[in-house]
Amino acid sequence: MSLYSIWVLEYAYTNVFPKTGVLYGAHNQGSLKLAYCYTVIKGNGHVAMQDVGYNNKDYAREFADSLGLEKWQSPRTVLGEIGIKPEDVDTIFISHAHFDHFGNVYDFPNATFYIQEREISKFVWALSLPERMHFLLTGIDPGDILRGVELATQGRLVCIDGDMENVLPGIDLRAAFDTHTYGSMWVTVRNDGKPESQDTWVLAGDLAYQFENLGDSGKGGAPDSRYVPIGLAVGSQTNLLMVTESMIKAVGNETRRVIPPHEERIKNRFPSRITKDGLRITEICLADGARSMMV
Amino acid sequence: MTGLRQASGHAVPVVDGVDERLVAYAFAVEAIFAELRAIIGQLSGTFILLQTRRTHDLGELPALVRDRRDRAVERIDCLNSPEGRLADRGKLAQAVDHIDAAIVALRSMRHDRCHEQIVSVSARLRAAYRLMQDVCDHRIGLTMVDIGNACCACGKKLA
Repeated sequence: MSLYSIWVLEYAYTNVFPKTGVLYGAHNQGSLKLAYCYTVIKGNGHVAMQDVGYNNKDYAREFADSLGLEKWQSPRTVLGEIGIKPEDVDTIFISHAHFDHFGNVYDFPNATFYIQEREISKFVWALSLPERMHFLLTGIDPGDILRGVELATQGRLVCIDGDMENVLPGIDLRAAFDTHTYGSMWVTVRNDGKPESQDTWVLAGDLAYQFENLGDSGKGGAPDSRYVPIGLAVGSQTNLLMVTESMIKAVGNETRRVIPPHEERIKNRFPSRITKDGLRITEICLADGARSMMV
Repeated sequence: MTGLRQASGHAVPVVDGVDERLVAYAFAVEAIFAELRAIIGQLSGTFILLQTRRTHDLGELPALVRDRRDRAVERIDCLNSPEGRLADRGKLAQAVDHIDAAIVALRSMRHDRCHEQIVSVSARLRAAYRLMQDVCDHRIGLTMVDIGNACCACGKKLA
């Protein structure tokens, strides 16, 4: 039995992301292509997503100039490649509040959003610190938090505290406190629906950018090299490594089952295609009876 | 191509070729932005928590916000806008007016609140945010999203 289909959808990318940003310590090793993606989980009567991308309406030119981002397409266009409309999405898991994950909430009028309360409360705390400490606020747009107020007013923002099992049947949210951000979280999809699942997928958010973060030298099996943390952590590298271990264990030590949405090379492991807009769709798995979106 | 300029220890990404006088002005405005961004973020985040925790406790927030607001006003009063940026001072002052209204509403909610009050405060903060967006110019480092120290920010320099 497979409850859900999972797709990783690229909505923009940059070809000039410094390698040291994705692999801590990879200084002066040039840059790589970094895909900007969100993930769709569809099945069992639900259309869910991990993250929503960034606010291109307000920041298109700025992000193009400052970050080298290109080829942005709207959720309507990107989701349309797998036959979904933004209005179809009923549940969204916000892995963390950085601008490229929490920026586009307005495009999803029918979704309930889940975020760790700690992500909000520690953000408020960090803002109370003097300006010289505001490295801790890197990447967060106060406008996104302001939009969160509207969601909360509408009853569409659920702030959770820690782990939450079966947020949807077979889908769990796992806290990763004080790692990349204060209240990051990752998603497990137990695709057979069993408590001790033999078919689990982990959606890592920004807790892993590349296979090498997961100790995966390329084989996709058990970790065969050291874990290498990502570059940015307002928490700690220790916590990042501990969470990496938890994610690997959740998938029974099979690193290919931990999906880093920013990783360009997932196209080499899973069926993928390039859309007419030059963006990649990657099909991680299909629910029973679901149609492939690779044609 | 984007480079980094630094003053008072604060790195600001600036597009090459921009007038140096404008860059100096940008540093002055950034100090105001820093306060107003923080106020909007603090108030927004707190409102989320108030609603999801169903509590009325605002803690020290009003005092913290008031201090930031006062510093922002001092800096706005000293702002010397160059040609082409003359409207900035008025917009930033209006943003403060909206924030002041939000703070007044916040105080009235200390012991009680209703949906309309929250919507009103949210609208005031959005108005302040929009006015700041009008002043934004990423070419001189005036942005609402601070990516100055993000690991991705120097990517364009490597191009």
